[in-house]
Amino acid sequence: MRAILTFLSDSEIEQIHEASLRILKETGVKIPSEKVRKLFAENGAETDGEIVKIPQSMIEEAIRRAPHEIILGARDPKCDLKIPADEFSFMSTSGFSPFVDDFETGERRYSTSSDLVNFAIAGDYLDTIDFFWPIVIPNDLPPAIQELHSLFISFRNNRKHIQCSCTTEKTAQWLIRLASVIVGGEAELRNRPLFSTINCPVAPLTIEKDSSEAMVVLAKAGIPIAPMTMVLGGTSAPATMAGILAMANAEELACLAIIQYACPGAPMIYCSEAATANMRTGAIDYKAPEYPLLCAGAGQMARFYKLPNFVADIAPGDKIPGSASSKYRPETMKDMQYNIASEALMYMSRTDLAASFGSVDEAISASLSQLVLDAEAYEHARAYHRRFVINDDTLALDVIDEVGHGGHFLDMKHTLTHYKKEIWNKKLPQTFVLDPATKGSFTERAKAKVRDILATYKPPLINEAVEEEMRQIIDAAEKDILGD
Amino acid sequence: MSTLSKIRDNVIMGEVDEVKGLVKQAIDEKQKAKDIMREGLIEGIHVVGNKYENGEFFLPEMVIASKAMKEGLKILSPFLKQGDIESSGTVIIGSAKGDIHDIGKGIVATMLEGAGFNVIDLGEDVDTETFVAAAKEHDADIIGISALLTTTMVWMEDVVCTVKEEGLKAKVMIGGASVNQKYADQIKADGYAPDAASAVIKAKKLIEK
Repeated sequence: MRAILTFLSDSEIEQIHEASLRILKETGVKIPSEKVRKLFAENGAETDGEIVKIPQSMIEEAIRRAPHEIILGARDPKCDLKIPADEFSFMSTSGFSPFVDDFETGERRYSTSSDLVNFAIAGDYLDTIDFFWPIVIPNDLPPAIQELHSLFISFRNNRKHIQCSCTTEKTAQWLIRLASVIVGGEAELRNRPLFSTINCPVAPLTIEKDSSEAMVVLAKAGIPIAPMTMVLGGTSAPATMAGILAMANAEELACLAIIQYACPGAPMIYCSEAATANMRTGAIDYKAPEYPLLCAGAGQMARFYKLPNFVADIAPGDKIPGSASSKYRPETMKDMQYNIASEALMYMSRTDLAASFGSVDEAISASLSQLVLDAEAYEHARAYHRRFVINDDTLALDVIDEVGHGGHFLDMKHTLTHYKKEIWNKKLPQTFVLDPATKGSFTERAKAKVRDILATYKPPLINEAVEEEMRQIIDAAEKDILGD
Repeated sequence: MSTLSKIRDNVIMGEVDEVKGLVKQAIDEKQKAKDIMREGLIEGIHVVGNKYENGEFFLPEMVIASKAMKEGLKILSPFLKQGDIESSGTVIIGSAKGDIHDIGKGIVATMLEGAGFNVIDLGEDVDTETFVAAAKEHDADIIGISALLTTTMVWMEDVVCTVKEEGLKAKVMIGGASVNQKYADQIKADGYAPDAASAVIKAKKLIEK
């Protein structure tokens, strides 16, 4: 027994699938990369300038080749994640924000490597976080090496699986080398990839040159890729739910094809952040009711293809219905109820992976306090995601018969044995992440928690010799990417 | 109802083909080109702008109406005399070099047109040379640059510097998810706006100066 939000009927899933195939065959995708176009052409696609029209047979073959089970490895093997996720989805931080809401002053400013270090540490500390997105961009570094350092900082300060962005071929080659050092070689990295990547198509139906070429390199090394489609209904996608899903699904299948034809059997994570636009401003509207519905629909499409999936990407963090402000500061548990309900709903989309703790203002910015509050809300929302089992014991027919008509179950041994596991006993004011001893509003308590984490928690270090080798790779990578 | 009123109403409804047909009809009726433009096309866009402000119209209505107006204007152009067109100013707009994200920029372009600006949209992945050449060619009042990515916003400063070096009159405005007012100040851009509606207000202010 498990709460799953479904949005599409079985025949609707088929209709969306057929529609996506038609988009790929008749409209095609724009592939500015000559190399990747060649890959498509060699395998049966039709090319017309930069447009690639992908036949149904190629897509079906790609679906056949894709693995259904994958491992997301971690520096600490105890933190490895097996996909499909079992009882609960695996949670991550938000990403990849250019700004941070300063922890002390609350001022919004460009984020730096120091900010990323703090978030990585907090992400390592919080049990709620299963894998880490480098949540903020280290803007203090030259743009061309930001992704390189994001992974390096993440590895050094966080022992969990890292899912980063990787948008050039060169960066991909260096990230692979960097991660290989930790596990002792590229073959080992293929078995337990310590990182995976997010590569976003640009809607409608375009896959950037450098990003697509990076995907080829990553696929060949066995690095799982989550090509996050970000279609926006009304602006970069049709203004209909069916059209949004058909297009998002088409983008996923096109990326799946790149991955499977670059390297048959390479791990791919079906990743959707399909949403609707605010039709007044054109901005992304993650607060819209359409968002969790699209998550559910995308989740169903992923399951249809038996692909590992990542379809719930935004924690409700700073959301109040009808409020466009990021000034939400929860005072009491009651204020958290909306967040809890929102998270409960969204993660019912049967997603293996989910984000986006710590996000503020639709992930334009990030906040350490918000990270703690989102984790707190999620621990309460978990109540809705538990799996329950039907068996002779839980059906309790003999107990029902024994109690009979009238009476009660309170003194039955069966009740005593099962209630703690099956009935949610956490009282509303009780907290999981926030220290029960701290006083004040939730916002203040979250701040206190962050202070405590940063003052007292040290993530396990990487072996000194390994770290030294990694630094040498970083130096070589910088010379290669930036030039001498 | 007069032809000019019909033009106005069809601009409001975003009926592109109707507007084209009615503009031709108005020309055949020997209406003054200036009047067709002002009382038909511009008046229509003006009403649309008001309806957007008060929440009755949203982006699709704005964009479609703008399209209808532009198509009507294309047919009317050969008949317009110098000085007939009173634009709020000329804006060159494009996405920064390396950036192919262009929807936000497209919305800004539409809103600027709706506010009476003459907008030349250079599209995506536009390098400094192209921005500057277009600004010279069209005697632009404003160059607008959009960037989503932190890796592409760096080219904005290049445009600002080049514009100054070449002594162009154009003011440089920036926008996009990766930038803010502080960044605009840092690179000495003339303006920044967080969304399309405020971009129009800012553009108008820059023209006034």
